[in-house]
Amino acid sequence: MNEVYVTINGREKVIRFINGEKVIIDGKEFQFDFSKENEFHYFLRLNKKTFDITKVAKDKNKIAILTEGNYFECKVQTKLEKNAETILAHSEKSHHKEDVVSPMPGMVLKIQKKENEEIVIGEPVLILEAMKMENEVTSPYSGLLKKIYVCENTPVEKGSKLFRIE
Amino acid sequence: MFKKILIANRGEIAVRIIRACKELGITSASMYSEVDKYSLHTRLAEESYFIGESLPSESYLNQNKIIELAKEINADAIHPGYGFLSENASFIKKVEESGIVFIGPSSRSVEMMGSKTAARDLMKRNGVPIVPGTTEKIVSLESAKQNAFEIGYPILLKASSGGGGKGMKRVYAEDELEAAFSSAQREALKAFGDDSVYIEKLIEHPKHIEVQIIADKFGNYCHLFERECSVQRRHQKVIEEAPSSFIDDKTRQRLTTAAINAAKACGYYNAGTIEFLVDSKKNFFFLEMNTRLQVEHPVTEFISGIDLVKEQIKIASGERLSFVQDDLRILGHAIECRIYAEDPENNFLPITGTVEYHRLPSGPNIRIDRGIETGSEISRFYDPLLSKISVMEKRRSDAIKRMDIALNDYLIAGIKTNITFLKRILQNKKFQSGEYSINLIEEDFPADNSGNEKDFHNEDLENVAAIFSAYLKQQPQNHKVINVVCAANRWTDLQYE
Repeated sequence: MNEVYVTINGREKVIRFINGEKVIIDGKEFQFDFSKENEFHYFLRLNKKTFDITKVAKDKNKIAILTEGNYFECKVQTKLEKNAETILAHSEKSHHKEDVVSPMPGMVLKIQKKENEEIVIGEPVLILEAMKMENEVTSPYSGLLKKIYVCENTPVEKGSKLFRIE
Repeated sequence: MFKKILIANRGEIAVRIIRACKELGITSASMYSEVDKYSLHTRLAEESYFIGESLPSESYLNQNKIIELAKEINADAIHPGYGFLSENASFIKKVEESGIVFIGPSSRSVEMMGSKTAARDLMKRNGVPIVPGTTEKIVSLESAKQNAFEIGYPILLKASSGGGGKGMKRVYAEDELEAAFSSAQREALKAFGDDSVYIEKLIEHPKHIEVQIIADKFGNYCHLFERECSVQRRHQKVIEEAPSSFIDDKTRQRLTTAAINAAKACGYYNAGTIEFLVDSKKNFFFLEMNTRLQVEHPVTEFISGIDLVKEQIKIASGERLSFVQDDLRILGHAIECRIYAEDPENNFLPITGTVEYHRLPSGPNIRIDRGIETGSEISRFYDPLLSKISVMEKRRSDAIKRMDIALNDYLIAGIKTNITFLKRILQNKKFQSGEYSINLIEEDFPADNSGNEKDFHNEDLENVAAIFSAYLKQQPQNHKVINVVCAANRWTDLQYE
């Protein structure tokens, strides 16, 4: 019951809360206590030690945190969500379609590739200018550059679609 | 001494200068752009004035507005900090002509050193060794090809009026030259308003070592030893230390003498830095002179015991240096880490957002320079430098340890930073041994971070992260999160979503 699956650095952990004081991680039991100072700063006591945790970012299934100088990006899923993902992954297998979004607000300076060009992973597709620096935006996948959503010399917001690789 | 100083900058360096003004009993006046209305530097100064819209060209780079403001408020002097107008000779000239004192060198010295090509020529004539390459700017691709061929690949394209890695491109073969040349020109034009570039031989695996000098208007010159700044990403410094563990007393003697000669060659006064590339055989080559205060000046202040900013102000007001060379000794080993809002796993792209929570490290010989705090907005208009942590200890290895602990204690929420990345550099074997070059990050920290996670696996912390994220997931999601939307105007019109 109430199992939560957390993936950190490519490794999955299964978390099960027994009650407000006990938690089982991959079969191992820990004593814990949790306190919220504010929406962004928490304390977690685990066995003998207390950790300061700050929240860096959060969306539905992902939480990024900083504790003791270490950033962690955690993918968090309930059993139900995990099952749903497995089914989806099967049905979409071998179809790697993805929109690449802008990692920051900036200006599209130069587009170096054309639509329907074959792109190799890591190849620069366009140059994004932010904070006076030119940043190459590279393709995270190999495949066909299906669509370019932006034009040269136009500003983009963080998260806006840049191009699509299929 | 001056009565009022206008600080033509923002962020941590403006805060640093305000402190020096206060300590000297001088009225500090800061200027702010639209988004900086309630920034730390605006609030800490005794007076603050609106200078323009958020775009730097409308505010911190608006030369005429700044000079007019200085006159209007009866400021005796302008401190430019670093970046922005600090090395702009035409601005400095305008300040000089307006009768206001510029806290820095003369426009003439800046002009002599401002063009990298002219500076290289000047150094060559004054017996300071330079990196082989062109001493004139390259205007056409054809001439770039010709020069690159003569110098021999690999080469480095650099902006003549550049700095901070902007407009700098490495070229390993002729077929890469065209793209790199036009990109370097574009970046140079955007960043410095001048698209001229020049070519240098790429010295492979060098160290970046620089000498801090200071001089008064009476011809007294001193050096404050060297700093090693070889830990760089995208040609921008990330970790700096003083002294360099690579430099022995004999090399230090030669290096600092060359630096003082370089400063004398352009009739320099005020604080300045001469940057050198040092090869594995301890040969050094003049790279450029920074005619201003450096970001990394805290490590020098630590090891020399000299307050550089106060010294700058005194020199500008016509005082003599308060010390002589023989008064100075290296007091310990200092390290500085620059905390940037950026994503090291994503090619160090700058990150924008709000600092939702901020707790700083503290302890013996830990110094923080910062321009932000809880609630600060990190906008895309300015440099993503959030703060600097500097530490000192007697031995380098102990200083590294102290810095590592300080980084653990640094808490910041709402925005991703390079803190973890900095910790990994401190734990790197090459860094710890001191045997590293400016290619350390490129070689040992691949962009996709592959393989790194395993080396730094920490089961306890992963468990903490796992419990925390699972716990939050289980919390009812219906509570309303209140976010302050308008952080720029927190006190008067708070908006909630």
